[in-house]
Amino acid sequence: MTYRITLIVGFFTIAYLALISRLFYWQVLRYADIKQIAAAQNSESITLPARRGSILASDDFKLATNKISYLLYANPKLVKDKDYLADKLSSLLDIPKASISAQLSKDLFWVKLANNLDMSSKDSIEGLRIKGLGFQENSLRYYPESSMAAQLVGFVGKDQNDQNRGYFGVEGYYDGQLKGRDGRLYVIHDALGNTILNEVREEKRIDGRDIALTIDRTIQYIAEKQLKDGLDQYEADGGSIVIMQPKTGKILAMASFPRFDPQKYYDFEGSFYKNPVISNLYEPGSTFKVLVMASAIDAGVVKPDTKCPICSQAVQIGEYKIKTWNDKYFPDTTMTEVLMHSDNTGMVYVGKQLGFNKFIQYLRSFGIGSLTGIDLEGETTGIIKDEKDWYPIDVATATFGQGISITPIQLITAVNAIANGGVLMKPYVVDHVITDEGKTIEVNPQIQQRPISEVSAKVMTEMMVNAVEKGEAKWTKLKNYKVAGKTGTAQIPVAGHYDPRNTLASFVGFFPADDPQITMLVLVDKPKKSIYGAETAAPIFFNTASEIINYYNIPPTY
Amino acid sequence: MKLLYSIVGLLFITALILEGVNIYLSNKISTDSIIASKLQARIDNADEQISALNSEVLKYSSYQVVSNRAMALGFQVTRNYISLYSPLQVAVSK
Repeated sequence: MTYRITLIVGFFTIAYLALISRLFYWQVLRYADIKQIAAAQNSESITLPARRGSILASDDFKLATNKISYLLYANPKLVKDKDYLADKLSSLLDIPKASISAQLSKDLFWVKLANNLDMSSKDSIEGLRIKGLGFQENSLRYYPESSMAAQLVGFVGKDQNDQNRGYFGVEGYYDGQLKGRDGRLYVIHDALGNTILNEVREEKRIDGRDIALTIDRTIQYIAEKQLKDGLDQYEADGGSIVIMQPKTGKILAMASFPRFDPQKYYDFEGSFYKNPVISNLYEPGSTFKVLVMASAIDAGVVKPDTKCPICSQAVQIGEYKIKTWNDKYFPDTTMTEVLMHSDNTGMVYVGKQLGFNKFIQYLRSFGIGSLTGIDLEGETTGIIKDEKDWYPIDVATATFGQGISITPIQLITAVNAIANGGVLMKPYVVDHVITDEGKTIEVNPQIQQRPISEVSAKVMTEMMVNAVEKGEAKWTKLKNYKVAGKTGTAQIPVAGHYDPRNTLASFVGFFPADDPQITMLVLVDKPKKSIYGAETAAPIFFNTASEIINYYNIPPTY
Repeated sequence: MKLLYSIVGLLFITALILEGVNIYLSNKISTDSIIASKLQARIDNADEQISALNSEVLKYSSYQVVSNRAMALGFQVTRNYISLYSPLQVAVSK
């Protein structure tokens, strides 16, 4: 009897120990795994994607925003009549029937049929009531003005983790502000799959901030249209235009051709994405003369009526001979006339009077050789060589804009300092930022430095007005308006020498000269009809200026 | 002994009532969730339509579309502007 009881007690003890061991195994040792499996069965984590902020023009029109698009997918195993479906989708979506049929013939549970569908297409497909089709909602970056200011706005592509990321321009520079932070929603379901509301836990999403630009959409449109018409007329390879507000440094318009469609950026080569205004280095040619002349005036080494004693013939510098652009020479020409005739020999004289150290010092104070700090992705800068690397011929050619590389944004920023009474402003494209809570963060104009005095700026302005009134571009100047400006016809360096056929024509200036409201730079790359800035870039400048004057209703000077 | 039975009975009835309340509340929450889900679906749908309409408004008010449409309708850019910068008498009394 005792033996039997002992046996039974022993059996139950072992059984309980085995049970406890098993429970210990599942509940303690495998706790984490089991918890994960249970959580997967009854709970769900949903990503709440943050809305990417919009990019607005100064009139609050959205240059970049988001729109809902749909991805159409199918489960081929559920589609009964594949041929009928392929036929219908082909006619509705304008996709080859063969490509839809190929997708539907795959032995898969999920195949992608079309992407970026709008709501009307989705409604039409839903109207077919075909089993096995489904839609996935996506947010698509949308650029309502398509290619307008494309290089300035940039685009949204994918990074290496397949996440949206802004590239180039404002999209790239302000990506951190625009993208916001995704939220997460943790929900628990009951046995039937219904959400249990009191178990919902949420990590709040933070939407991206809206970026309001200084870009005036009307001026941008005018500038792009005039530039495009001009490039077509002069059969140029490309070109750029930048328009700035003198007193603040606000960029009102910035455009370049050829351009790309940010909506379909993947259809264009990478070189199209670059903004030539901030990324391309070029030799500025004669437009650079205004900076050198302004420096010499400010340093007091020349005056507008100072006569040039070396301008009667070509100037010999070591083994090199410096000629004027048209091989015409003007003995005893004044500094005002040097600028008017765009006289290279006169500029060599100005450079000599200024001296190498002051020449470099002034260039640096005008911002040449350093980044302007414009709030756009991809700005580059040319480097001013070390003092020991400058030869006399380098200094001589640099006075008329050869052998020195700058970006268009550096040139317009420097010339804008003359328009702004000698004060160099930092160029910028973002006027204010709007947070997801609706708070506005203003961006204020920034003074960089004062390269020249107010008096020197006034004197230089009058010399530039004279260059427009009596110089090579006088045929295209505006009636009744005083415009200060300078033409440029720069040679293009190619593999150690200058391209004998092609030039980079340009015109830089500001108006009305007495109280400047606009500073503008026009660049025309390799024009075929004429190689000169006075005959290509200048007319584009004045046509654009004329429309801006009407838009702003700027009163005539005389 | 009778008191023990009464306490056990009371605890049993309390447990029963609480379980009943628990079932009712759980059921109600689930039902509310279904209604809330349906409402959420309708809100999502409305948001979709608003978003689509916003995109349409932007598309049709863009300068690219407006200028192309204006050109197709025969509008021309006029280069003759008149701006008055000083007062001009346009009507006089006799």
